[in-house]
Amino acid sequence: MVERFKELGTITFSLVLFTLLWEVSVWLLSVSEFLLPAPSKIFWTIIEKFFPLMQNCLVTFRETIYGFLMGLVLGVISAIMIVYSRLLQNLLYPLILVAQIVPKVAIAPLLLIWVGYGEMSKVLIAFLVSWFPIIVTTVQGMRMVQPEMLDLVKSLQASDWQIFAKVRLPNALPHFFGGLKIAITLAVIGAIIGEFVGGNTGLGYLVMVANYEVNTPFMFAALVVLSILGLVLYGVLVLLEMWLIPWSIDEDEQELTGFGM
Amino acid sequence: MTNGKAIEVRNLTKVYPSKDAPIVALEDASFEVYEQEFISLVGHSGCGKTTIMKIIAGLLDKTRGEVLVNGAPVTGPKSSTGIVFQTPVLFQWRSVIDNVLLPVEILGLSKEEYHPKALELLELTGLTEFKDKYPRELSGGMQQRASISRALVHDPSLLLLDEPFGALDAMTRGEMNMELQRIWSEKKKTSLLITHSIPEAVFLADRVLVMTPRPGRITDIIKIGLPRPRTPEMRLSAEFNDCVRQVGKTIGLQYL
Repeated sequence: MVERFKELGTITFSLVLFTLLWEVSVWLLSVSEFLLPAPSKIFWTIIEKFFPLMQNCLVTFRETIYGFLMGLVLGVISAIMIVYSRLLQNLLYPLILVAQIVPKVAIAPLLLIWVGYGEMSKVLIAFLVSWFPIIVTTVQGMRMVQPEMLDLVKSLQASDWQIFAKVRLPNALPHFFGGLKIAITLAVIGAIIGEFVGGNTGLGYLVMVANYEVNTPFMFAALVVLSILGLVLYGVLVLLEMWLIPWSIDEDEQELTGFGM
Repeated sequence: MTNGKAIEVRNLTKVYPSKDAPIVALEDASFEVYEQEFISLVGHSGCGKTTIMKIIAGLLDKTRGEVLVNGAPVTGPKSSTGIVFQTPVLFQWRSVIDNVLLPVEILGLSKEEYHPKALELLELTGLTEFKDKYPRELSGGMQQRASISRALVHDPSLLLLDEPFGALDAMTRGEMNMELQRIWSEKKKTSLLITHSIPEAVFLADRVLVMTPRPGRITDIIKIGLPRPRTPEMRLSAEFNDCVRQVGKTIGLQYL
């Protein structure tokens, strides 16, 4: 616990130091605001534009969450189909792989043509980037069952349903959460890509507008809010994981999956 | 032995198909295990010990021969068997007590009814105070004791132990041998222990089945006349070492 606090202290210290250095160098070197605004300037811009920032943050949040949830549901369903049917695996895997390999930035304009400039196109992009890690990790988790574990339950005449519910599914949970953590960060990026390509709301759109207006402080303000959104979503997943699968908490492993992407 | 036969194996042969030449894992193995008897099956790695166990457990099909458990031919897994593997195979997501109750759950029995039984087994294996811990919080020896409790919870008539202490250090292993003897003498389950430790096989068994590899054959059955309960001191006795030497010779160890 003491170690934990020390770690937290070090992290805070490095962040504070970084911000201070930034502030001081901007001030000393009198860097122009449109090149690099000082942290204090960004802070005041956030306060000043708080309402529009929050409004657009809510839009991006919604797109991210819907896309992520779609990825979660369809990802888990596809994973189960892949694990349980060789035929479905051969049918689905190439499609999933192609969907993953095609650069999402490149198909974003296409999606806009198909479903319009509204939130739906952003949700779809967020979904497209987030379901792949969920499928891969869930499939891996359900397959990587110790063979003796299967022998053990089979020796007790376990039904296929029992093997799924009592062995494969819980066994997949830590992998699954690893996938979710990767997926949520990607989902935010997906939503932003969608907003970049076309639309008139969301934090990505604000960044674009600020860019056109060469309003760099506002651009940074939007970026800060965006980062906080991503961090909070990620943090919620970490908490959910600690709450739902306390038996698998492994700090080192957590760090690995956290920086997995 | 006046007891009935718990296991009868006659001319059991298992051939694994292979591209070049089929692998004969087991050839014409015949033996019987009497009720409440403790049998050790000893031999080199890859001599077909685990194959025999898996066929008896109904987890593997035989190629030829006959296997009867409690007088009935084995056609598939039976709940009257409890298995302990080399690794504890505990479910990481379940507490110790829930791991022990897993067979009860899978067999669709009442968890409430078996809860006292599970507690009693944890008491027997010295894990009472760890019942609510997760497996990763337990040492290797403790984990294996939990897995022995799990194998016994649904009151199987037959206990199959596949190198249960192979992954433990020598000192823990000796303690676990004593522990297993205590559990066996209390529960009187027919037990089949697979091991490649000759002293362990001799120490625990009423009879030792000796196997030789390629093809897997049972070459000898040696009766161990040591009195029970067996004590750690007995391991130093001339009688014990005679048995160990005899088993070792059959396996083909020169230095014994």
